[in-house]
Amino acid sequence: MSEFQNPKARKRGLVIQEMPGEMLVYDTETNKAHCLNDSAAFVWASCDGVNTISDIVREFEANSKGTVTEDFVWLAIDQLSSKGLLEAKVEPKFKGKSRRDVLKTIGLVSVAALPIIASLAAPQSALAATSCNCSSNSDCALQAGMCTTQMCDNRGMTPSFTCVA
Amino acid sequence: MTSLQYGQNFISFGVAIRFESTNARLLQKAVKTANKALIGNLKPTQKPPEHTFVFGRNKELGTFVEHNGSIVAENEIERGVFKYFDSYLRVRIGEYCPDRVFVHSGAVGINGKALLIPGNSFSGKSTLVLELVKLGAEYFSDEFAILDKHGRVHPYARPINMRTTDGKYRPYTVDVSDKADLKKRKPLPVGAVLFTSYKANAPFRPKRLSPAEGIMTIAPYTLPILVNPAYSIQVLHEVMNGALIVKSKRTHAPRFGEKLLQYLAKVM
Repeated sequence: MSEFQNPKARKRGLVIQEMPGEMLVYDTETNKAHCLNDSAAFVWASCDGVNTISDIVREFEANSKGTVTEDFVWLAIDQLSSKGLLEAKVEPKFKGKSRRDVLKTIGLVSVAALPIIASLAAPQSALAATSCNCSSNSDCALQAGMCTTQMCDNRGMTPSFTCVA
Repeated sequence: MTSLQYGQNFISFGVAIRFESTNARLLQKAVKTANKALIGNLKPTQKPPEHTFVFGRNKELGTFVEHNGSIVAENEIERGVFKYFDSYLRVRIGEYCPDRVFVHSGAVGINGKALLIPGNSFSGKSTLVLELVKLGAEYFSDEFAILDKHGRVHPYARPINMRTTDGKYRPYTVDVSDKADLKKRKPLPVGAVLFTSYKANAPFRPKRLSPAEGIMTIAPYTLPILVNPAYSIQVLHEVMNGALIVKSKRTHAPRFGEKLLQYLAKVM
């Protein structure tokens, strides 16, 4: 059976914080924080490389999380894959369909909260938070008010520049 | 590596640093800048340094600062280089501090609990913090919320950095902290976290976030997240677990400050 049918959750390089009804996953390789709702977290935890999609549907229902279809699980798998949370990338099941259409179709036949993963990237350098967000020295000079010395420096924080006023 | 003619070792927030120079005046200026940047948290130490900063001046670069062998700032205008070093040092200490988590955030105390307002520079957090202090909140910081392992906030009370509103945005500071009072100030548990951005005449419509959403949203403002992600997340979890987490646009600080305090009085 292909790994598409037996998805495996990635564990390497992740910091995982479980919380009631949700999960926070921080990816140290991409510096992204992901927030998984209960449904997405359950599907992710069930991706052990052995379970098939049908097994995950059964486990989901057996854990009283509601009645769902394989498409429901695929919706979670697609998101997990695109966010790099699976060992191997999975070909998107709903390629070419709008997210709204997919959610509508799956939502109508599922009695469970749809799997949702929200993500946010941390800056590559902590110094970026002190930046005036100029894209070049000349931009910084134009913002004379923001940068009284009209001096920018982008060391360690490309592509943002920092005013050294 | 051989040491330069002048050098001093310090420890700040648990991070061992060394300043070196062939120029006694530059070294003295570096120590003065660091003392101000780290609000006096700079003590001499014998501990081997993890971070070495070299200060110099030559024809090619002007005044320059090296950090562990790499140039981090260089310019003809010495004042500008030290201004940049001031920011750079604070951020590096915040990233490498072993037991505290520095978050880019305003912080005030309200009825024994802290309110955090995470945000980057120029996001208006100083203006809002100053307004809240005027309305009776205790000042903790307009720049960093320093969190211990229990998720409590410690003061980082530099004078508040403001900018003029005449369109020229000239920087000036407002000192709202009473030094004697600061020494007595105890760390506070976080009661609320507010994610906000300015929009003229925006109504206050707080949307509550879950703890995981709170951690995700505050992660980009968390200085050690790249260096020590596991400990950072653990501490942020402590913070978010017990706090009210809200997101809202905000209008002008005086109007928004009052509404925010009324809201927090009801829910915090």
